[in-house]
Amino acid sequence: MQITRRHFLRLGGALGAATVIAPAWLSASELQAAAAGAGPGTGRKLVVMLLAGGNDGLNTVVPYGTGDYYSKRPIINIPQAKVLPLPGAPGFGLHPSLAKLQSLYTQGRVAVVQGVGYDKPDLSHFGSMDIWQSGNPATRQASGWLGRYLDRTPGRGGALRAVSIGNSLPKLLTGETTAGIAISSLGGFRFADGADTPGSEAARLHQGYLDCCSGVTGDPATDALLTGGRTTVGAVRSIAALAKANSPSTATLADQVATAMTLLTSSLGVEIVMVTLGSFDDHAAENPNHDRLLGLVDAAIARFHDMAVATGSPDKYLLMTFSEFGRRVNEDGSGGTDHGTAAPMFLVGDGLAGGMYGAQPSLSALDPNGNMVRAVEMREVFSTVLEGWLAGPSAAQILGYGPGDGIHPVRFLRSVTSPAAPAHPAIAY
Amino acid sequence: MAGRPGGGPGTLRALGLPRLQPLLGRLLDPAPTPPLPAPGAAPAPAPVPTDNLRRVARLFARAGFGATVAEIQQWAATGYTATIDHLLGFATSNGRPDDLEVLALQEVATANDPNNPPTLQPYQRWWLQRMATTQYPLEEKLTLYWHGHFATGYVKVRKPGLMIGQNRLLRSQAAGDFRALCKAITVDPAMLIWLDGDTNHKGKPNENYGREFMELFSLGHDGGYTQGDVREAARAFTGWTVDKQGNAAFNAALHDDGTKLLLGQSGPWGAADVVDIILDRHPRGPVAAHYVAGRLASFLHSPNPEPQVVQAMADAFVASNYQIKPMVRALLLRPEYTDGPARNIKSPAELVAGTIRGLNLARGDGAVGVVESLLGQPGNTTAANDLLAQQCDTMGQVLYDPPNVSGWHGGTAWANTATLLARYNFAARAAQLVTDDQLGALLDGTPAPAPQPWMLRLGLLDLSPATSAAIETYVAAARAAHADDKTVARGVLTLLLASPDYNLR
Repeated sequence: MQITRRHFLRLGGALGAATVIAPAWLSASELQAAAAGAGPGTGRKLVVMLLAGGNDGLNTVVPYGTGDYYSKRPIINIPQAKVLPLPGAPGFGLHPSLAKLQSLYTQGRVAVVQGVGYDKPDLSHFGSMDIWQSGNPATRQASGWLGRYLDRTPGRGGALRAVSIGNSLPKLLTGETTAGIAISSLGGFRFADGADTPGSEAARLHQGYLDCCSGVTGDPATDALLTGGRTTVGAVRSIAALAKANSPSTATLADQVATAMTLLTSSLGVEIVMVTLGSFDDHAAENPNHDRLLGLVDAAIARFHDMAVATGSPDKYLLMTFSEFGRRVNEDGSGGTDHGTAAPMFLVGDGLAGGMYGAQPSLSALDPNGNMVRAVEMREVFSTVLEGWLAGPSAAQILGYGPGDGIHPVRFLRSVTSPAAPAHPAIAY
Repeated sequence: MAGRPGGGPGTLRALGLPRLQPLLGRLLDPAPTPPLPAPGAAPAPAPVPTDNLRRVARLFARAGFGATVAEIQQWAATGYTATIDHLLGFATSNGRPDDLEVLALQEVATANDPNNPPTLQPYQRWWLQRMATTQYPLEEKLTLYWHGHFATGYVKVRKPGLMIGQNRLLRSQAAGDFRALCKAITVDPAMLIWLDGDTNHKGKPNENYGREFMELFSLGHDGGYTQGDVREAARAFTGWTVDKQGNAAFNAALHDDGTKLLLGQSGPWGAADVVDIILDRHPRGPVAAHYVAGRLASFLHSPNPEPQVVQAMADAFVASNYQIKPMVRALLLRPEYTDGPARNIKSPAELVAGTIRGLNLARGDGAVGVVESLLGQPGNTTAANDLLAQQCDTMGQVLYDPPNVSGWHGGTAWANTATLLARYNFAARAAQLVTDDQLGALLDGTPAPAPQPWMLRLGLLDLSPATSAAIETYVAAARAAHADDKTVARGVLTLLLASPDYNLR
């Protein structure tokens, strides 16, 4: 039997890295990943794209067939002539900056879930962002829903299962007992004083830093530095092999996605990567800014799909967008919109059944604050990602819902979609 | 001392206090750290209780940007309360010459040159320099706090001069009158642009400032206000604009002078009225005092301040009609603050400025000196600018450009793999910036690998057992590899600067 690379990695993991002499083609980081138990769970990968600041859903998936849309947004509406139509979804179309997304939609590679939100909406950026990332609108939680997924599937990989691109670690990837990591960029995620060449001064100092960070004290700030320092040294050593000179920057959202795909297609056991684009809080002069931002989103989604296709297994990659809320139906007096509630989410990939899901909330029957009433509860999307895509343990436990809570997963995945009808047939107003 | 990494009570592993005086006597430094004014003519000769040394060391780390052990000893001998009085005793910056004038002039000179667009970096450099060298460190520390509290971002304002104008406002009231600060920040040009006050007009109000003022600046997310209050406050805030020169102007025609119902109070309210109603007439009492006290305590003291500490601060705040200084003083005198176990993580600005201060890297004249020292390439100011901005940026803190209106969350949010790698890299770079001359003076008469000389400069009274052992192991390994004294001395400094001990306060 031929000893394959994967066999060797598994063997290395079983024996422990210290007892294995690595052949030349196996990098130290791969060995370390193997020792940490990295390996395929489902083999499916997830890119989470956060549109921070509150993306205007009504100007993203435009309900041009609804008269209220134009009467309530006399200045910032997207004229019907400019809207990119969505086949099979009469009355709805995409913002003109989303041409590549439209193309993917027509190929059946995009699921649009309309009207996603939660009950008793919080109009604070930070309150609502917390709810979306913790994944439980009823009870405040210190951890995120993907972090709890990591907690409950410890056998699936090592320390690098979830990565956030940027210099903060969002709650979404922070569990109760485990957490993802943050990296600014692949090229930048390295020691400034040199690589860990054995016997070098840099290697001695990195070991010294690791030694400074040993132990645990019970003081949260101290322990954040201790455990964080240990994780950092391990992560830098693991990722060093990927940080080639030509590795993508993270200057644009598309670059972030390219970095995400580089990580997801590596042998490091990375399963989830989160990328973020901000500045969606368009209280004033919305259109030029929103046009630009959605153009960046479009380019990034296209990059995702191109790179997924290049792997040869595009159905193993799923991209999900979310934002902390949509925006007010009526525009304000500044050519912008104030904080709103429900909005569409995009799911992109070759492993899903494209089309429209959920329902566009009414633009006239609004809540007392002038906001739309959600059609789909956010956990109805998250549960499908958790159970259907990641094949995780009970989504009900992770997301804190019971049989009486009326959570019905939106069946946008090909493998779990019944051919009859989506759980939430689209409704056009 | 509970809470230090692995440290037991009274552990003085690396810098035994009995040895402190001899070491100090041997410490030769041709260019002493920017001086804090000495308390009186000469240090008191009486022995200083160890507890007071610790209190004063932590006080300077938290209410300033660090101090040398010699300074700590002097102030400890003078007394903890006297040290607080000194730190709080700065006059308002309005009464002092202000180097901001110079920078403002520089910006005017380049504002109209398309080939030389204004950038933030001279202002970031200037502020870090000021933090590192000021005789009034608490003024800078509180200004940094208010910058995060009233977080305004260059990403949208796009005018450095307006960011500097706001910095001047924050500094002028850093320990002053919170009510006046709220009223002034509401019509601050940078803030008017940042939260769209300049397009908030009668008839169709823009809720942005009204919401964030209540949620983040005064009452807190659960501060007992409703969406209706947000809307009514937005109406009251209408009418303020920013003219082409960058000045705030009130346009009565754009102001909604109708009756508003705010927190149960009905009247033709304007911007200043909103502040007064929130501070004085909230149906649940002094909600704002508790919110501001709690947020300030989480910055100056602990990420999770004890309720009784927040209560004491809020009481002092209310009793003084929202004067900031009595609230800060109440905190600095609390036993939980002086002797409690809780630690906080230094913000990137504190880490960078404190290191420049402790290692005496702010050589040269003026702001350029700092950056050139950091880069080690005198004269290359463009690259130097980039490097300095990068130091704080990659650690997660871009001065004048916080991540969003909620500011920097601080505490454990400073510690993730991206930012801790940036902290290690800063340590490694800073250690290389200590010149051979400085090393020679510092190491004179001291065994090269010893951490003590660095600890004296950085104000570290002791080290955790883990850090002590790590440094011993490193020195042994470096020695075995025949590394020279200066390499090892810089290596020890790298580990000290990167250690949890130094990153905590």
